[in-house]
Amino acid sequence: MNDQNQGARMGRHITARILSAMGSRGSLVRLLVVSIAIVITFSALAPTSFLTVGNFEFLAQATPEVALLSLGISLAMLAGGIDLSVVAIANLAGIASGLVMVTPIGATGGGLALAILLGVAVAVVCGVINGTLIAGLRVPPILATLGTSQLYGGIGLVLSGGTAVSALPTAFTDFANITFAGVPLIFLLTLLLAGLVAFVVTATPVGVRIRLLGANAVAAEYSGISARRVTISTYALTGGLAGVAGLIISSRASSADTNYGSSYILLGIVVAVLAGVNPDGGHITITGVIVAAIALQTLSTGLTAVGVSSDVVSIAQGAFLIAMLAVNVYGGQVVPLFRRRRFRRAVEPAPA
Amino acid sequence: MKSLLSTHPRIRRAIGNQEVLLLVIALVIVGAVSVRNPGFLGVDTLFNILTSALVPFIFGIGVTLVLIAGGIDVSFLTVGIFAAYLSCRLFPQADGAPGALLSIAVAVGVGVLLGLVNAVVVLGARLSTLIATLATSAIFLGALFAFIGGTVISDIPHGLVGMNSVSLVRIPLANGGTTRLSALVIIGVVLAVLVALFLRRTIAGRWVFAVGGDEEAARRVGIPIRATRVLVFAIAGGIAGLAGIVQVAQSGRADPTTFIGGELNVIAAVVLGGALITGGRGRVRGTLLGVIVIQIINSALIPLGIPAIWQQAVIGLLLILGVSLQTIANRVRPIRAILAPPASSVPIGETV
Amino acid sequence: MSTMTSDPEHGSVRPVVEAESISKTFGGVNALTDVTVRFLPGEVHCLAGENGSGKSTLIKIISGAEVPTAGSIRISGHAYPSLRPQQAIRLGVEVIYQDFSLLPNLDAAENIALPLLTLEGKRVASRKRAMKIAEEAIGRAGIRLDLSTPVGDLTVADRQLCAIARALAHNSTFLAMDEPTTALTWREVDSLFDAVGRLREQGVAIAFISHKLQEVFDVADRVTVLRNGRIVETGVPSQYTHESLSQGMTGRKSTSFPRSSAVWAGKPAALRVTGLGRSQLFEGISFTVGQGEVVGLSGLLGSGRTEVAEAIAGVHPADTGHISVLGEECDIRSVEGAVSAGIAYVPEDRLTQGLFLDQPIGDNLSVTILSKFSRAGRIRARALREASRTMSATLRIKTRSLAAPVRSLSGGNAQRVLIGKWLLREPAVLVLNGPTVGVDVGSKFDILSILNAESLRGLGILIISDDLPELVATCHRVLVMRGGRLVDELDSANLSEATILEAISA
Repeated sequence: MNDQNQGARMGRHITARILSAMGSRGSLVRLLVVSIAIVITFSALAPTSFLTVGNFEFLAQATPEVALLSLGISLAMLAGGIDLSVVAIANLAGIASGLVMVTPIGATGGGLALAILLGVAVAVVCGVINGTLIAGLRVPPILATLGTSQLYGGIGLVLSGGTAVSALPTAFTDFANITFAGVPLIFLLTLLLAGLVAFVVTATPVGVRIRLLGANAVAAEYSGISARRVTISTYALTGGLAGVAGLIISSRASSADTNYGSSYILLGIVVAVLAGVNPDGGHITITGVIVAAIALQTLSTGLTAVGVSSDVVSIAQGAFLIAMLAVNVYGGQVVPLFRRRRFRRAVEPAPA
Repeated sequence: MKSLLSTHPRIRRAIGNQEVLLLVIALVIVGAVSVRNPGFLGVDTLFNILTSALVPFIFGIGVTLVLIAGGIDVSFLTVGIFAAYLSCRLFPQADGAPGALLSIAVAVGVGVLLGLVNAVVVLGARLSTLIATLATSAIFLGALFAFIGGTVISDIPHGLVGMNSVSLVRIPLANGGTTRLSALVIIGVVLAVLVALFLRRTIAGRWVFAVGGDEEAARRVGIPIRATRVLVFAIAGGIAGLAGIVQVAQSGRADPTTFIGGELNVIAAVVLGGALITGGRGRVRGTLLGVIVIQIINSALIPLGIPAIWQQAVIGLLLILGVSLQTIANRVRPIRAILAPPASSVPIGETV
Repeated sequence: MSTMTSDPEHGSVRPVVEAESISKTFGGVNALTDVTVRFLPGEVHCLAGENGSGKSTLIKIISGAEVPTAGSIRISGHAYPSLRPQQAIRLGVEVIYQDFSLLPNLDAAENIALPLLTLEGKRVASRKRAMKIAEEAIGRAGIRLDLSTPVGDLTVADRQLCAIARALAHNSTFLAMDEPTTALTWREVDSLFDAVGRLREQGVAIAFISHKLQEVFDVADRVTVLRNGRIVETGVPSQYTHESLSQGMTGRKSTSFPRSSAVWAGKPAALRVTGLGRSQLFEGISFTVGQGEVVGLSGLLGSGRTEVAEAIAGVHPADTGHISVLGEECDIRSVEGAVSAGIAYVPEDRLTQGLFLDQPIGDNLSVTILSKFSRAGRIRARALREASRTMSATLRIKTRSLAAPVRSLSGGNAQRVLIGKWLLREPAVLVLNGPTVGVDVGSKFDILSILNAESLRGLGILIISDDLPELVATCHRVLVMRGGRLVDELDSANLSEATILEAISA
């Protein structure tokens, strides 16, 4: 009798643990399931072209720029906003540093470092401008970044003279090809940056403030959080990530142009939503973003390996986004139901 | 500025009303160009501007509708080209006036269907229209390439060619040539009048404003929110289809890649025209002005000695300025006065 | 006090609207529990109760703006488990919402006419027709209103008039008015009451919600008192006096707390406010809160009490005047500024202004001390967690884990989190706006005990409240505001519920 009781309690405890894991990391679980399903499907469908070292190397090469742009968009979403200008920022950063690289200074090692720093700095400044428009003038994030994406894209166009900035130094274009034990350096760099973002978001005051601001901007104000400072920091960080992504893009493409990555805005939003980042603010998962970026790249390389045109890849991405939105809306109603009941019980035993 | 804005609602409204601002900008630019290049101020420039403004204007009307209802649609260009391309594929032999009408009707019908798909996704996923339409636009474009075709149709239905070649006005020029305005312009005029009438003179049109102004309040007074949303997306889809087929008729070819990446330009024009991104406000007239000003800027840059490459940056800057002005003008809300005048100076019971 | 469900006069009349055993929960908080009310034709039925007692929620459920958790609405005999607003309007239910629920981008005429034209199934929006409907409606209400100004540009009083006119445009059988007079002058209130009288004669059932007790006595045929989401009693106005009604609303409570006798004499005041003013809202506000002193700031809704609190807290800074904390003058331009000066503010609306509902309890508590518990830009997580846990234990917040979202807590526990987050900051003065609104009686006592204990340790406390027993039980002094000015100060010698009531509603 007693044992039975204890068994039942244990069972309930374990169920609660699992549910709690689903609730807080439900999206990650969902995501891993989806990712593994993608890998298995394509491995089965096209073992000869998908399951190759070359394919996985390509994956690791192609993922960083997407992952970094998605991280940037996710950060803006964490703060309750969105950044539609990340691709324009990335290209502007690529062009700005590319223009320095093609000068005689750029041929030197120090000049190259300077050019790279300049690119990232330009991107951070772009982010600060976004943040200032949003927090200072209170322009809705969608509109502010819509406008600045036009502006940054336009400036990039003017700087580059309308053509791609090419003939970049080989020291720079080789960077994307450096590997350690078969893993591209840019992939490791992306993991490092993701780790850095994760640190900022979870272990620094500004990270917690970004999350709280995104969760409830009014309560944040009443708690003495400076929306202006926090928002500007957020978009500056987003801009910086976009800048690094832009440098990676131009290193891989051996040139910088305003037209690169125009599909990455959608892809970045898909990755963020797929990862379980709440577009209304207040929740982010860095691991999720990285896994989702890899999953979507796998999906597109897999579809290509199967011999499907790139257009179907676009359909698949769109369909994915809608499916995940639907799961987030309707699936979300199921899990909290369990959660709430559980916490209610936790409160119950001590009557007022 | 702040006190001026807060004390005079009329002044606030005038500043918030960008139509005046746009007119001034248009006149200043035209004036400046005419001084440098007197030949600019002529009928052919006017016709060129009207011709190039036609397609963005028709698209812009649809975008305006969605904005008024409190959403943002970024799928309109893919809807437009999808509908037009499909129409050309389905009835390649459509000839004469009936043929032209058939091509147009099919494009509009397909547009309405795609608009309904948007509505289903937006209402179903209960999430931002921006994200939902980003997803559907990826699906529409992918489906177009994958299942209908990605090659340019250069032999478009003769009915459309015929329609474009009918001249509304034909005027001889000083240099011996002639300049003409295609009868296609009539489509834009008729649509503008119809939509303006719908918005101003029908109850359903007023619902669109009500839903965009305050959705919860509209719901509480018994306005059918969901039906209004569906209607708006359906109409916007149909308008996008119309814009697509007009573009095909104008250019003489159906190219699935025509519009890729141009969404922001149209949205920029509409927002410049004074439509509120947060919903509840917008005019067909404003959108017309917004589109025309952008076309004037486009055609004035070169006569002014500014490289055409500056166009995007200038429009981006203009958009940011317009939006910031809008935000500032709308931020200052009248406060609820509490302070009673000193008790001695007014009759009892008179409070402010 | 006997519950009067079947007095002879109305026993045989069929109710227009009945709420049957309605319950409603928001995020674990019970807003309404098993509420049954009948609204009879030709009767003005007042719902009386404090903020958060559930009156507005009940109205929103009847009008379909909210869906009840349990129970049903019966209209003209048919029972509906829940309603959609459109359906409720069709059934003759009309509401003047507390927040007006107007469409800010449309002009007043359209705001008044559009719902009616929608209801009538009209297709064409005729401006002439809209004007006619609107003019008739404002005529019926006996008010004057600029019909062609966008409602967003109207003053609050005009918006309220517009909401009233909109409700009167319909031929409804049931009209609910949620605080319809807050912004109006006495003349406008008079014409509103005239209109209400005419509707009553026509047999319309009227639900009337007001904070102003005098209005309740002026218009009510029947009074139902709500407290903490439950019906306490129902009766006719003649059964009540001002005192007995307010007692019913707040709940009888004779508990009093020990107050530090010498309010840290000789030490600088925790908070000193001199000549504080903000354009159009309040002026000439001067008072002090000593260390260890509990001061009440009372007044009716719209007297300026919240505005003064928010100026001190830096939410909407004052234009004129001085604020000093512990004898040091501070220029307060923002909440951050106020916080670093040593002022903490517990806002009025706990759910939207105070808490991050979906975030962990721990983060809600520690939001104010993030910088203090950081070294070299990194949060000292363990120390922070320890501090939060200690505070949670001190305030006896009932939860299994600080990782649980605040949404899972009851109203009283959520309020403790809000107070705890500021106590962690160790402020010099704590300003609380309605500290026990929407909190059950047990928690209310606990929260007041916590405040009392903190004051005995030297914290200066300013309580903004119209909960009279609470003020009498905890405060050394009570300041009274009316029309944006301080008009009275009641000290221990003459502090009682009756004196406060008299001062605030004079």
